[in-house]
Amino acid sequence: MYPHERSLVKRFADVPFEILGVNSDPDRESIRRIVKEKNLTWRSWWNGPEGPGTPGGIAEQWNVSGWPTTYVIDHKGVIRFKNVRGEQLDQAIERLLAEMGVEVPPPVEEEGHDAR
Amino acid sequence: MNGTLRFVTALFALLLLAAPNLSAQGEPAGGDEVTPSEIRARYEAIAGDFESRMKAFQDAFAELKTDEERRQHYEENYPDAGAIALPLLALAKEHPQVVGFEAVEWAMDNRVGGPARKAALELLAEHFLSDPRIADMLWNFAYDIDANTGSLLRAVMKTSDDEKTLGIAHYAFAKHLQGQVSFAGYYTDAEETEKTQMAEYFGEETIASLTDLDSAAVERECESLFAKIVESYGEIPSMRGSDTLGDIAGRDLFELRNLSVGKQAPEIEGEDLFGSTFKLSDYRGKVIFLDFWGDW
Repeated sequence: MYPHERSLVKRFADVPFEILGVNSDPDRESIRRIVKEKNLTWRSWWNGPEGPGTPGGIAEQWNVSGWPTTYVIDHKGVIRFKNVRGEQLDQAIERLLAEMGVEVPPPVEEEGHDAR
Repeated sequence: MNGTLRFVTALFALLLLAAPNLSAQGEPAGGDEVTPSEIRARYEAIAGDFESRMKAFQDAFAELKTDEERRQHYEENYPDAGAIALPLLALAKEHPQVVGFEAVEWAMDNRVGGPARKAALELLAEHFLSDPRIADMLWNFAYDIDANTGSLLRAVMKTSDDEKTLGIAHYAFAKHLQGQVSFAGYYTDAEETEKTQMAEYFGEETIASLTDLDSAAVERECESLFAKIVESYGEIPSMRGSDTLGDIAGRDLFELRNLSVGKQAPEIEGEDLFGSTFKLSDYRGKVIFLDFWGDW
């Protein structure tokens, strides 16, 4: 997933597109280190695991029971796709950008694999 | 009077004497004269045999050094619960009031599939629909998509008068329906070879019933099931920590009503990984890929 996300960041850098994460890792220190090491440049809310001592709440409100769970939301804030992956994810984003009248950038090469 | 009574008594005594003889001469009487403790002993023998095989498997597993050895041991020697469940369930079918419930529970705990699972569901449907002991067992059905599961849960909802059983049955039924819809979507998009595999695994019948689903109608049905759970069975404990059925059904209801395609995304507000606060609505005007993730 990370290489694909990095390729989305690269491909859609100059158009109105953003990746936003909700991270449920238990240890905030180590996840800070990981986003730096793995060059995950997009912003994430820190949800933490559910239970006492963490903010929790977001994943619970969104009724997430499996990770990753993903949504694609259009420029008006409307949920348009749920759990689309791979090529279908690119196509979903392309379609929503086209609806805004934005010229859709061509695909970029995905870099090598790492964990996740 | 006296004479008649004496005659009846004599006749009764005669019958008592004759009865064992009759059954000894005729066909074996389907285990009719077996005592409950004998039936239990037979049950324990079958289940115990599985346990000792499982223990032998685990002991041998612990001795192995490489992953390859472990994989091979698993493939060759892992005890087949389905093969044990069949005689267990056959015994249970003959004596449902003695070992029926235990046998069904055994089959569920050991997650048997195929004919054993079918036999367990039949036993459940025939004898235990209104038995309050089945309540916790019903959680097992929430993520099953096959049509038998659906009919069983419907029957429980119709028959049981136990609140806990009813609450869990409603929840499991709604999740079962949702599972069917998402599986149907997955199936429709799958490659031909995958479709063949799925049909083999779930059976043609289930596949056919799934592909005919009216997903909008199912969604409405689920919405009313979740709403009913919140209203009528909200206080019943769930399997998830301290959450009640009302808590989990409430979240499912929220998802249906606010997180479906076409709905305005609810606001998200909170701290990022480094401690500064931001909101989803800060990004209005952009296409958002929202990813619930964890590095695991």
